[in-house]
Amino acid sequence: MSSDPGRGTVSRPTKGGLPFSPAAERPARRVRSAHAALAAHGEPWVWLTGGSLALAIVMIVGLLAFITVRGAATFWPAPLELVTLADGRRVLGEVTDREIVRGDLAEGASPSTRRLVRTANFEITGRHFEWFDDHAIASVERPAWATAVERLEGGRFHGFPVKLRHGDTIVAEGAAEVWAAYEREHPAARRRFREALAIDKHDRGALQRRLRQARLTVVQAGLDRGEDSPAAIAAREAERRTIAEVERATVALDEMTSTLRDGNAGWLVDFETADGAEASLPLDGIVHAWQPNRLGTFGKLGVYGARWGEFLADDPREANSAGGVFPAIWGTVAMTLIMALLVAPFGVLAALYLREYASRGPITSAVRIAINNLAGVPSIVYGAFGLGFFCYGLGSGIDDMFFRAGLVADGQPTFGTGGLLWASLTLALLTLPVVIVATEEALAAVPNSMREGSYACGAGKWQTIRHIVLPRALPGIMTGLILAMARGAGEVAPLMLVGVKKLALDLPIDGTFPFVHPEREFMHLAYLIYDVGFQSPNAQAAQPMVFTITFLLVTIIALLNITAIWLRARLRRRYVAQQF
Amino acid sequence: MPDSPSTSTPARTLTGRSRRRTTRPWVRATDAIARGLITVGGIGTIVAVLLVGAFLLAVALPLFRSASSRMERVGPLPTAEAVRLACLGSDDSGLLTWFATRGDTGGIAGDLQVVRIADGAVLHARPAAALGLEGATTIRVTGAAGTGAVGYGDGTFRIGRIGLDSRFIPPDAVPEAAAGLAPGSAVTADGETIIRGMTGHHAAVSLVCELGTPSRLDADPIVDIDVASRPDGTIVAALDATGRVRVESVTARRNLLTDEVVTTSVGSSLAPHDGKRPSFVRVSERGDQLFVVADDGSARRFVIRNVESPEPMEGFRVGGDAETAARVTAVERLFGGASLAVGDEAGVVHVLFASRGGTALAADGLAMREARTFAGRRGSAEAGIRVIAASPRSRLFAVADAEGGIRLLHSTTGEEVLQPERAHDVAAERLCIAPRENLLLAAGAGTLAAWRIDAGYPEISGRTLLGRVWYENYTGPVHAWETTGHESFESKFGLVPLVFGTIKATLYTMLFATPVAILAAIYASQFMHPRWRARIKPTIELMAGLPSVVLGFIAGMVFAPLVERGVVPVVTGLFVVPAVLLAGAHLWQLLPAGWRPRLAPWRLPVIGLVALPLGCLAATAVAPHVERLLFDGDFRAWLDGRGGSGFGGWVVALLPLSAVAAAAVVGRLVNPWLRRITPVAVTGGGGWTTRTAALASLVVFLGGVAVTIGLAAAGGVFLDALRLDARGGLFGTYVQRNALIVGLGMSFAVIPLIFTIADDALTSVPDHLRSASLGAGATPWQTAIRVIVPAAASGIFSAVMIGLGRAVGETMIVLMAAGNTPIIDWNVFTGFQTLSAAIATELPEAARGSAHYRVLFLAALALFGMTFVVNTLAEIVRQRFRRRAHEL
Repeated sequence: MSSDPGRGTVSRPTKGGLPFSPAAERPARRVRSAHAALAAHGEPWVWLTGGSLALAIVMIVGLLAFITVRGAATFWPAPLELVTLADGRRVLGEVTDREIVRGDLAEGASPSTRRLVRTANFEITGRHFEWFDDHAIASVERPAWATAVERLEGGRFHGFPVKLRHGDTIVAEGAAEVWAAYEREHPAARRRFREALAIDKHDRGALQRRLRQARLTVVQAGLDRGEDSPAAIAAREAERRTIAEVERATVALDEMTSTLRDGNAGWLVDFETADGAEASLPLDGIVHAWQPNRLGTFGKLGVYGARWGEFLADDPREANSAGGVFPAIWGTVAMTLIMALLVAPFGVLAALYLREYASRGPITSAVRIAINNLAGVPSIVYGAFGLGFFCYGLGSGIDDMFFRAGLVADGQPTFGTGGLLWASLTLALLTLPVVIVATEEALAAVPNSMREGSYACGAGKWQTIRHIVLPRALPGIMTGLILAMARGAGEVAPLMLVGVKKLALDLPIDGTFPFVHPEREFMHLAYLIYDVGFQSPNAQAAQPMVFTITFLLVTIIALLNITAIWLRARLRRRYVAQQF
Repeated sequence: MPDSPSTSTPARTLTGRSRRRTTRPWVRATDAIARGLITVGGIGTIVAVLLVGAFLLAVALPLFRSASSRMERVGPLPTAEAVRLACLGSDDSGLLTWFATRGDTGGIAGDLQVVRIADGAVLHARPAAALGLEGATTIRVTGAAGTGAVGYGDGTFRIGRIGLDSRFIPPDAVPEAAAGLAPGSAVTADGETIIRGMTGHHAAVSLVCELGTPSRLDADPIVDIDVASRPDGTIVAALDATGRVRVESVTARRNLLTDEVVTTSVGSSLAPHDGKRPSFVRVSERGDQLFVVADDGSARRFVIRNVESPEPMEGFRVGGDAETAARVTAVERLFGGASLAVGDEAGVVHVLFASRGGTALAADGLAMREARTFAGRRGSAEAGIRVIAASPRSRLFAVADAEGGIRLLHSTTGEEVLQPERAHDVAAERLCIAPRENLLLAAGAGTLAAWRIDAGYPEISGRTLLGRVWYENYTGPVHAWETTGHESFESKFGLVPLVFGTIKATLYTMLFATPVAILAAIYASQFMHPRWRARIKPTIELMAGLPSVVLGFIAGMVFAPLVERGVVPVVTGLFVVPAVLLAGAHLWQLLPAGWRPRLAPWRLPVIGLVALPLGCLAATAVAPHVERLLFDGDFRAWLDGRGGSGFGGWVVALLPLSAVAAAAVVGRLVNPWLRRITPVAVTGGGGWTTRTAALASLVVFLGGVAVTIGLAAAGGVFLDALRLDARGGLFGTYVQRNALIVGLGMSFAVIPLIFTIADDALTSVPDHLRSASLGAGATPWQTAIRVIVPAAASGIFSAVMIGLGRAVGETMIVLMAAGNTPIIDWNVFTGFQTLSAAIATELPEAARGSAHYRVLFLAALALFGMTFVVNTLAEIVRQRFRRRAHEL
């Protein structure tokens, strides 16, 4: 429709055309008054429509630009400014916002400006941000050795390095030496820290799972065969052995972690804050430290890249307001892919049935309208359905049949609560109408002459569909599927009901057998936006993080959309060539 | 399937090769398999998708299931000689009942018996004398804790634990005698009653009656008594035959050395008031209020926070004036403790509670008011109420009347829940609703009747969901949605505030989004170069793909604080920006006629990059003056009702109307007049040049603006003079997350949707219509507005409907930007809660199968239905439009 080549020339405004120009040769012709001619152009109304369009464009472009700028800027090392106030107080921080304060107009006060400084050092000052009136500021400078420290706990720290200590020995003193020593020692300390953390998380987690598995086996045997059956007794025996093994393994792990942690113990970096207060930070508690005022563009880029890397690859810290979002990315991708795997065959089947097999009639068109409508049913309704039908209905049924032990042992449902499988199914149901509609349109776009040609060559119906219709419709089907994935990746309301968790570090797909854990709850980027943005205890400090997550999510969805467009174009080229 | 004749012999063809004419078996087989698979899979998928609605209905429907009852048993009481009952109770499982009988002399006599309901067999009996009940005249047992009180004929009373005590027996400790017990049955073993509940667990049930040390009121027999538990002790109130009341707070402490229970009690006595002898005494469940009711309907309320000096609060009447009121025959406090149910001789049950409303308030600011009146039983409305029994877990209660009729009533709905099958012809003396509300017991005239009851969801009815309900302690009937609270909280399941919130969100969104989207689509499809359009359309469609959680975050965390700081510029912007655009158009008209066509491609950039920013700047510049002139210099204070008059609000509210009026005047009167007076421009003759006409039109526009402002101001002055104020209606106190923010945030989701579909509808109008119109001499604007838009009207309508459907069901944006307060208020600047937000926040916490859970599913069903209807309408209109577009 939009590609109609003839339309543009017609719709192009043709003002000052023949009807209203003084036409000397044709005096008899009735010509409208200039006023009427002007009114006929409806210029003011055209401007209103144009204004609306401009507003819509400004809205979308502005929104995307805003998200991009705020989201991408989070990790850029902003300069640290040492602000000296008129009353002698000194504060070191990043200026994050400036605004004009309007005084009371009635009193005629002149507007003044003020700036929002991220002061950090929450445990000392009790706040993350502070507003300063510009006229109360005596001086602003950018000291070279001002250091921003991203800590494991307690948020950001701003200060000047003074000493690097190992136990009682002072390894380095003075900003430059400390920094050199820090850069030498920090990677090793971090490595040790990460190793210990990995042991805690993976190895101990595996032991815990073994214990629970043993316990469940005991309960299951008791339920199936009776408490006194040989199977139950054997299971109890096995549990005792497992407990002993786990205890031994725990001791070994304790040894490993304490060796690693001992290696880090005693390494301290002493900082001096702008106010002159002293603070000692453990070396392995420093995630990143940088001196933005010393860094050149490439240095800043390095810090920027490192922080992005941490964001993409690490687990979240501090109630999701710091650290990385890897589990959420993983959960989003896993859920979206499983959803696509579920929705593709069923959507295509339904569309094939509707378009190729069902007899044309009022019932088929009613079904078609109903499916079109279901695409417009609010997602939260699907969420309620998913919770009631999948989790409480199917899930509880599965638990009763196969996972009684979990219910009996610790009252924990296995499938009877939200999880990856149910979330994927719910979203598959939600996006199914989209895929059906898209597939049907793609099938309808295959010219009937091609089908007839195929039949004429003696092909059967399935052969025709398989070799003629489906390949031609594939671009459309893929587009519908990718658009469905884009929608699924950004949907959060139904997921809140069927399995998305605030924090779930156990990935739903991981290296432990059976690799895919459809019953596990998972994290999701879109839910993280809601959670960190609205449930976070310190919303202001978490806001940059939310913008970054938003930026990431919007990028993923935009990429999916662009992939859909690209794929459509590419496949269309490929299959158009096969046309007669 | 094209089938070739399979049996014909190979025919000779041109090339001499014989062609195979039969279909290969595997082709047939795959065909059949594919057909089967696709049909089954396709129909299955479609049915599965359509099942969503059916499932929601299946979950919500039990809410409206009417209560049912089945008579379990009616039979004579096992005690032959004594037929009058002093009290009646049931155990937790509803398998057993226990009762005490009254002797001929009036006191408790005989045995306390535990009876198996299924067959009436006595499982256990203990003589009253051995339990310390000898000479007792009244027994009262409350709640599940089994706290009870006993009053004696000699004027003493005691409190303690009375009732059936259940003890869980682990599976390996079940005694031999009970080994083969079927679920839902009971047996006596070793002097202990063992029951097996419906879930299969065993429990030992025993009759307990542990009474504390007696307190004394006077020498006259106690006629009524009530107890309530309070953190600082048990409150007991006893009434004797002379009308004196004694209130005591009893605390029991177990001596650690001697293991003796030492009770200490403090209290005070109240003499009858103006010679009226009360017959009922009740303590509120929290133990802070005392109600004394005389049988003529006069009653008094005391605050007994300090039991040593009860403060008289008010005297009130039950059932009307002293002359008309029927004699009070039964008084019972309902679950939750705030309401009293009072039955009278005329068969009417009154429910009263204290609330803040009303005229005559007592010293504590409350007044007892009759909130609900249940008329007498159908058929025999005059039969006086004999006894009332409250359910221990909900606001359900049972009443029995003098003619043997029994009813279950619910105090929240004010409706009759159930009338079980009749068992008696005479009045039941005692009623009991089992702790799990699965059993109703009635005893009287020597018989004991038991009904298995299924109350369903008695707190839910069409009226409580959609009507105004007078909830406990409220000043009057209201629409309310409040679902979480403490254990005895009265849940308020009024869907109206949520439906209202949904409508409010949709309305304010559509008010902004519809015009912008449709006008934008008109420009994009009619006045824009296709090459530009091909770029701009996907950009706007990208906005439709933005996750709503992102829009919600931006609206709630970025727009909300921003708009909060500058409400007035935003409000003025709504008027100033269009005005600036119109002014810009009039200036554009002043350009020489030859320039305009050449500049036409630059129109949109000029609008977007010059006029729009200029409009915003103008709005910011004008805002302080508007604030000073209309809102007394401080808009927020004005909204709060501090300072200023109603004038400013009316001006803002009337501006759109007066703008329409001014436009109508200009279009209907001024422009035709101008056309008449300006001479037709004949060749070389006089008449206005285009430039003059443009100037005239600018003057007319400025006049129109002046008229608009003047009209609005006049209207404001007039309405303000009538002492009307828009505050409290359209405007009111500013809350950071409000309808304006939601409208703004949600329009990001709705505008692209409407834009895309409307644009498709406008471009699919056949080109020959456009060509014909332009060829006949119409300008592009005339073509657009008189030919294209009417032809595409149904498509545009369906676009709006689809946008509406999206706005109705949107969850995350309203969840994050609407504040989630379920209030009914048209104020643009307050928050609200929508159906979708309530589902999202409350469904994970609602207990599966509870009324709350099902009501939320009902809300989901309502959303489903609303969007389904809207979308179906849109779809049908769109299909009709497609057919019409083909015909054109």
